[in-house]
Amino acid sequence: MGRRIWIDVTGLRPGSDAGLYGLHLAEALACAGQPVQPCLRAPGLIALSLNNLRAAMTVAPLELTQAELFRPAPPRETPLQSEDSADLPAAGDLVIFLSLRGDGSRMAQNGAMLVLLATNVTTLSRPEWRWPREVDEAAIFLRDTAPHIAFGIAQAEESAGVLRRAGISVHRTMRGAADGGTPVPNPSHPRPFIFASGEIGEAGQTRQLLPVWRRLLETMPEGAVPDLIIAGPIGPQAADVLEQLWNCRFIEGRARVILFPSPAQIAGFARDCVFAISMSPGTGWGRGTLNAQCMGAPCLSAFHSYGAVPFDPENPAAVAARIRAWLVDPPVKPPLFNRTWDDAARDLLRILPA
Amino acid sequence: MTRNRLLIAVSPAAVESEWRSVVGALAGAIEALGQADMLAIRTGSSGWVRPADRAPVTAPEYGDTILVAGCGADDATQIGLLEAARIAGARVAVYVHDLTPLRRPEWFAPDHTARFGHWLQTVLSLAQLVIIPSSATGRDLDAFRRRHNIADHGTRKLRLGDGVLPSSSDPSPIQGPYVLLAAPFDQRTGHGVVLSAWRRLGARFAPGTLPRLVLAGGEGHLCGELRERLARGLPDVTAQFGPSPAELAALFAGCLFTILPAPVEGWGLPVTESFALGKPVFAANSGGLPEAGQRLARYFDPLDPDDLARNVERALRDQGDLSRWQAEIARGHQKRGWMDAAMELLGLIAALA
Repeated sequence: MGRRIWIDVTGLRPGSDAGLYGLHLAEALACAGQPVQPCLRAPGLIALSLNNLRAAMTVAPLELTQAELFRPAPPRETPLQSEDSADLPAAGDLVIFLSLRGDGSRMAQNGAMLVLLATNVTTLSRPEWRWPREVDEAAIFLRDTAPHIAFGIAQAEESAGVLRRAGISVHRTMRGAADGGTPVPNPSHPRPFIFASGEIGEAGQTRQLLPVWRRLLETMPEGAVPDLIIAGPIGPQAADVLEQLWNCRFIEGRARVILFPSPAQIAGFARDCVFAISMSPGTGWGRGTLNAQCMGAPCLSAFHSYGAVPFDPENPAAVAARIRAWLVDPPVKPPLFNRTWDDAARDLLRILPA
Repeated sequence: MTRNRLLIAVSPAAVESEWRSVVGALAGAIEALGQADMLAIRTGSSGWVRPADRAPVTAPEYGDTILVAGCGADDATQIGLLEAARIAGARVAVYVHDLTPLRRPEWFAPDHTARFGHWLQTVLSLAQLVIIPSSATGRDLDAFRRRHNIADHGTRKLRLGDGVLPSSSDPSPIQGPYVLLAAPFDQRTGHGVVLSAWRRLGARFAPGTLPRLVLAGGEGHLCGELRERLARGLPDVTAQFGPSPAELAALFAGCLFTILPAPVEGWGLPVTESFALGKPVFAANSGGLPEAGQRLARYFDPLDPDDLARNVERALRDQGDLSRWQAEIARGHQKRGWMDAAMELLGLIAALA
C-alpha cells in the first residue's frame, strides 16, 4: 500500500469555514487521484469516507427571520460512522492537521509525517474571540503535537507570523479557493446591497456592521445606503449581534442574515452585489475575499493578503468611511479570479514531500 | 411657586437614575421654601404620596402640575393618569432625557422600543412643557415631532447637577496608575471601542508601562459576551462589576482620567461627575456629551479606536499636559449642584401657571 494523505478534521464544526476548507481540499485531492483519507480523533481514530465528510461538514442554509431567531434548533442528525478500521497512519504517510486541536502525537508514533495546514489561527492570535475549550485545545496541541510537526503551511503571511510566534516552523503559504458554486439564476436580492461574507460572531467582526450601517444611514442621503446581506457560519459570541439584529428588525428591514449559505447562494450574492466586504481579519483562509474575487466583485477585505482593498475591521469609523467612499465613487470591477480547488490541491502536492 | 401642588411621577427606571437625585433635591428645595405639603410623588404605578411622611394625597386637580420624570413606557397606568389629570385641569410637564430606544433600537427589546415610541408620542401631545437636558435631545425630539406631526407647546433645556457621588478619601482598590470607564456594562456604553484602543496602546507601550483600564459599573443589557471576554482576562484591563457608590468614588479619586465612549447620550453625567471630582475626561464627540463636557473635555469619535488611542497616548506620555488639563478643570468647571437644578426646574414649572 502506497503513501496515504490523512486529513485530520478533528473539532472542525459543521458548516464552518475550516470544515469546508477540509472538505473541498479532500475532494480535490481525491479527484487528482491521491489516496486521501479524512479522519478525526474522537479520541480513537475514525476514518471517514468523502461522503461522510461531506455530510459532516455541510449544513443546510437558513435565512434568519424574526421567528427563526428564537426557534429551538432541530436535533442534528449524526451521519458520522466509522467506515473502516481505525488503523494509525503508517510510516511514510502524511497527516495534515487543519486546526490546532488537542493531542495528535500518537499519529506520529508510527513514523508518519505531520504537517499543519492551519486554516484559522485566531485561537492563538485572539483567544478572547474563541470558545474557551478551543483555546485550551490549542494549548494542548502546541504542547503535545507541535513538537512532532515537520512543517507548517499558512494561508497568508499574517497567519504565518502568528504560527511562527507560537514556535511552529512555517515555510510556505498556500491559498484555498472560492466555494465554486453556480450562481442562483434569479437576482439574489431585489434592491442594491453590499455582501458581507464571513463567520457570524466576534472573530468575523460582524458586530461592527451595525454601528457602521447606523453611521452610513445617519450621514448619507436617504436611499443612498444599500441593503446589507450577511452570510456565513455561526461562530463564537454570535448571540449578542443576532439579538441586536432581531431587536432592530434587521436594521428596519435593510439587512438579511443567511446562516451557512450554499455555494450557489454565495455565488449569486457575489455576482449581484454593489461590492463585497469581508470583515474577518487576516487569520482565516480568506473565504469571503476569494468568493468575491471569483465572481468579479470589488471587495473590501480585512484579510490583507489576496489583493482586495484592505481595512481595519475593528475600526467601525474607518469601515464606514471606506464604504462611503466606494458608494460615492464606485470601484471598477476587477477581472475574474479563476482559482479552483484543483489548483489548490496541485499547490499542496507541490509543497508536500514526494 | 404657586400654592398649587407639584406632583412628580417617577418611572421605575428613573428611580435608579439621576432622577433619584434631582427628585430628592427638589423635595429638599421645596421643603426649604416651607412648602413641603405642596409636593407629591408617585413611583411606578403606586398612588401619590407626600415624600416627607409617605402620607397619601388626592389625585391631581385643577391648577396642579404633574412632572413626568423620565421614561414611563413601562408604567401601563401613566398615560391614563395624565389624560385624567388634563381633563381635571392639571398641567403636564415631561422630562425627556434621550430618544435612544428609537435611535438605536438594536439595544432594546422590540416591545420596549414600541412602548417607548407610543409613550413619547402620547406624552408629547399631552404636555404643555417638555424639559430636556441638551440640544442633542432637542434635535432628536424635533425630528420625532416632525415625523409624527406633533406640535411643540414649549421645550426648555435644564442643566442637571454635576454628579451623584461623594468625594472620597478612601484608597483606591486598584494598585498603580489607571484610567477609569465608569458606566454600566451595556451595549449603549460602547466598551468595545475602548477595549480596541487599549489593545492598540498595549502594542505601543513597553510591557508593564501602560496604565490599566478599569471598567466599573452595573450590569446592563446585552453584555453577556463582553462579560465572558472580561472574565477570561484581557491584558491591562480590570473589570469591577456593581461597585458601591463609595467604591466608585474611590475609583474616581484614584484615576488618572476617565473615558466615556457612549455614542448616543442625552447628557453626560459621568462627564460632569469627573469634573466635579477634579478628573479630566475623554468623551465621545456625539449626542449630549459635548454639551456636558464643554471645552474642558477632550473628544474622540466613538466608533474610532485609533482616534481614542492617539488622544489617550498623548495624555499618558505627557504628564505635564495632563496636569495642566487637570488644573484647567479645577479652574474652569462651573459647579452645578442638584439644588440649583431643582430651583431652575421649579422656575420653569412656575412659568407654566
